[in-house]
Amino acid sequence: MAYSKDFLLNLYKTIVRIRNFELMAEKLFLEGELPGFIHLYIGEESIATGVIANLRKDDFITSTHRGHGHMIAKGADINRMMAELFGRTTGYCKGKGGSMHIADFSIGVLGANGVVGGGLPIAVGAGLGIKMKKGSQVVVSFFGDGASNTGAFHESLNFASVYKLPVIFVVENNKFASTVRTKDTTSVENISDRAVGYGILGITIDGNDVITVYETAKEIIKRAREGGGPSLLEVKTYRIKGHFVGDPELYRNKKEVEEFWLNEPIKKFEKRLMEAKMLNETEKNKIWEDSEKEIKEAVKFAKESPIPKEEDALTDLFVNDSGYDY
Amino acid sequence: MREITFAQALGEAIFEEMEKDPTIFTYGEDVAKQGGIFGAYKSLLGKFPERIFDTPISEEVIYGSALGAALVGMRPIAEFHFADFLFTGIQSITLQIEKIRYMTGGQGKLHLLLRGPDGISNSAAAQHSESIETIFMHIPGIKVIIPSTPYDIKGLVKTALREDDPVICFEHKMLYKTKGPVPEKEYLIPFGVADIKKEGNDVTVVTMSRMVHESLKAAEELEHKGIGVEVIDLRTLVPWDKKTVIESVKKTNHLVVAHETWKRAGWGAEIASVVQEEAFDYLDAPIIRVGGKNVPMPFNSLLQDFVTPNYKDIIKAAKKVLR
Amino acid sequence: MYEIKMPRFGLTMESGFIEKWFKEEGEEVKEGEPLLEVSSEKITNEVASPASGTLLKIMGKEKEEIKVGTVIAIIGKEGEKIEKIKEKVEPEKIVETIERGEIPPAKVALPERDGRIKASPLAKNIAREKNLDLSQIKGTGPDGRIEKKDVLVYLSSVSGKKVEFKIEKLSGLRRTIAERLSKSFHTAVTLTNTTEVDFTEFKKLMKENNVSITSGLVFVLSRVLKELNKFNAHFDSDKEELRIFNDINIGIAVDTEKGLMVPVIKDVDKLNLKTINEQIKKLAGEARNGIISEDDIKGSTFTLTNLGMMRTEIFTPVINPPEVAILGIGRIIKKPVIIDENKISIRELAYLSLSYDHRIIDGADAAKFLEKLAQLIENPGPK
Repeated sequence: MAYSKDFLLNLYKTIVRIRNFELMAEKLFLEGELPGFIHLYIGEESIATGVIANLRKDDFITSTHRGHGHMIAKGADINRMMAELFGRTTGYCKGKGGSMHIADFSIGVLGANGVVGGGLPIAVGAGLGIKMKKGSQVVVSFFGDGASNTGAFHESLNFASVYKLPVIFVVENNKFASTVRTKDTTSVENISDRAVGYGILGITIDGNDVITVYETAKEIIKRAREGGGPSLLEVKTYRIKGHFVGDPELYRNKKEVEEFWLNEPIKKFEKRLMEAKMLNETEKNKIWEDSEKEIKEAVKFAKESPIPKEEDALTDLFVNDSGYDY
Repeated sequence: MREITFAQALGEAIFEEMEKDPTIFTYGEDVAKQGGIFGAYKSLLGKFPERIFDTPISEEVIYGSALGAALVGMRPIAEFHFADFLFTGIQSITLQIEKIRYMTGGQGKLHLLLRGPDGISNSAAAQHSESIETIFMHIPGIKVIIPSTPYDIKGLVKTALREDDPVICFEHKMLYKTKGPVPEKEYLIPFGVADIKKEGNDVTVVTMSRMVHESLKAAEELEHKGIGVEVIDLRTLVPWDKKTVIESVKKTNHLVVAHETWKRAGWGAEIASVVQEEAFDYLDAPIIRVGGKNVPMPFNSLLQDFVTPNYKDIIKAAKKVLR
Repeated sequence: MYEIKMPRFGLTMESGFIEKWFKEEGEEVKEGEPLLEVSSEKITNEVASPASGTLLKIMGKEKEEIKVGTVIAIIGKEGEKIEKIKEKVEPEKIVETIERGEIPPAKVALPERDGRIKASPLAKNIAREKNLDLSQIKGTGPDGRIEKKDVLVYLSSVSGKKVEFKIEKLSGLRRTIAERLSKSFHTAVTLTNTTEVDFTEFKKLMKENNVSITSGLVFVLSRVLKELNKFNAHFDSDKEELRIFNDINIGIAVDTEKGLMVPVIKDVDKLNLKTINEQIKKLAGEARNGIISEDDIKGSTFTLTNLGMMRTEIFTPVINPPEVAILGIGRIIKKPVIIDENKISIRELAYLSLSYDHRIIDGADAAKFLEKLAQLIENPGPK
């Protein structure tokens, strides 16, 4: 498949951007600058990048607690994302959502979600709405292997299948659900096998190769957009970092992690690009430099942003009444 | 004025709004073909074929999808089969619908309506008889409407279908067949405005839903004994009409709150607490609540009657408060 | 320095009331300028300042009874120091009224009722507003809780003490009136006989002579009193003595701003109609203007009271003690009357109401009195 250099470098830049954002988030959290929880997407960047590269601005996605990558891939403003992590008023959620609930409805990101499986019914609803409106948009619901065992998963797949909704279910199987290994708690080895149970298309691919992800996603998204109904795309990857920043990772040994790092997605893609002469060392360094600069500026922006006033806690519940003073 | 049933009034409200607003669609279990288990959608059968459909028994997705559909610009009405089953999909409501707008700093308008039957009926027993509106008052993020008459349900549901915030509507299953006057001309009932169903000077009874009718029955009997009962139907629980209640208490100096849901930590406690806080000097006696006994609903009808409050309990409470 | 003392009007005055001070402490006064108003049992008078200077101090308080001769004020030169006055003015408390705002705030919890008074918030609110002591209120609610109705019951039972009112201290005159009337009411055995009298000719005659009806009545009364002199008497109930007078002094009840006054026409039987009329006019005028002398309001042996100018026909006047009777006359009204056995004529009629002390005068006496009086009125011969 022939791709333009621009296109490939865009993919690369996105992956780098996500990686740097996450690294910075990790650093800031460990330095005690960020409150709450941070769940890192490091090592899984190809999935978000590859799938979302196929989406229009008016398509929708739902995400998980590990949602920074999806947000960035969909085109979010890094400054506003960073500000939200810092809980500032300039953040996407005015400091009221934080990392786990970050969202930008204007670019179709219907939110990261702190409830495992919480995004699936919402994605189904979005698909339902699109169908009722007779729109041409699609909805991609990102979730993890853990979520594939929740009731919401099964209800959502069935529902989407019955009404042939334009929803693509992308399960990012990173082999761990919090501290538990997927294979110990999941009844099938390939989660995409469950698709058959709901009469929808199911595919399993390697999530560490962005091109594979891109191409597979392209097909099933087109299919959904043309009324072919939902599908389940299992993207196998590995959760390099702990479940959350600060996770002592008592459930695995270091060697396993190190092994994966050798094969980690960015390095893999870099190698391919360089081999195809789409990327050289100078360009690579520039891309990394620019990205790091961008992230540093985002941090500066966030730190200089105002802290919300106390009364701000009482706003944004309802559209037309306060909702709290009775 | 013509008289129609509670169910018919509901159907009319939904029909009229669906005609006006093409973004409204409705779904739930047993709604499209049957017209709803209590006939609420009978009048809609065949009218908007693409906009009414039956769903599988998947509460989490039924309620959660209402949220998703609202986010992409539609105005869904998702029916819950019985209020008891709000719990089978509760995360979609309490963790998603009630939280999304706030968590995202005010992005999005969640114009959706969850509606369905609640309360006791003929020995439906513990899992099909609950009144659980208190929870949705307690957890902020959704408006709660509880009509008691055909007039009220039509006006309130029409308003709900023009609201930009999520609304949940509880319809007592025993009220569906009750008849009442409903004007032909269009009207809306705003939220947060109580209806004084009967005026009186001696004791205020604040109530909703089926208990409104029990309160009126109690009031009639007490009238013969020379006791004037003021029956206030709140009609909406979130927001609730504090002003009307306090004005009434200032007049009568006595308050009884009556609801079918369990007495302990029911919404009556909230009303009582607010009133004693804001109208303390006007109370000539403690506030008394009438509610269900703190057990699940038993099957045997004698037992069901025993644990469920009725007009006699309201009479007793009124007398106790006026002693 | 000049000491102003409580003045004496008339022989019998022992104490009086300062109705009003016209000047304040520190103000300049001129000799002869009205300084204060003083009232006695019988009359009220302005008192002029006996000296010029600065009113240095006022000791006599308004509306309080002060003995005649007590120093009530000092006039002197501005800045002059006042030496200690020997006689301290000790005003007698007449009416013990509690002014609003002087009542101590309601106590809420007292040790008596086992440490805690139970009252509903509403009851406490009302008690607080009306400055009531909750410990005084009996509670009839559960556990003896005081409820609103208990507070209201308590309020109505003590309405005399604590109900809102305006305080009007009785003037000396009013006090006297009150005292005397009360005395009369409680000692005399008062009955009232009435009769309707044809005043048509009488009225005409008085008009011709340019005299008032009252004057005519006084004249006629004097004739009747001369004959039935038992009515022209005073009764001393302590001594059980009836004093029948030779002089006929008729008191005429006059309504003034300050209250009822009874100027007296002396020796009526020796006066002619015109003189009586003039006297009445003069004395009534003086009484209304507050300048009547003490002597002119005492010494009556019989009293006449005329309520005819107002809408009263029959009434039961109370006897002016120590007199034994009083005559009242009501409104003269045109009425149809049967004359000559079967003819109807329009005549002017009025009721005479004679109240008398039954200890002294019997019903028959009273009837006779009225008979004679009516006759004279209905057949007025040349006067």
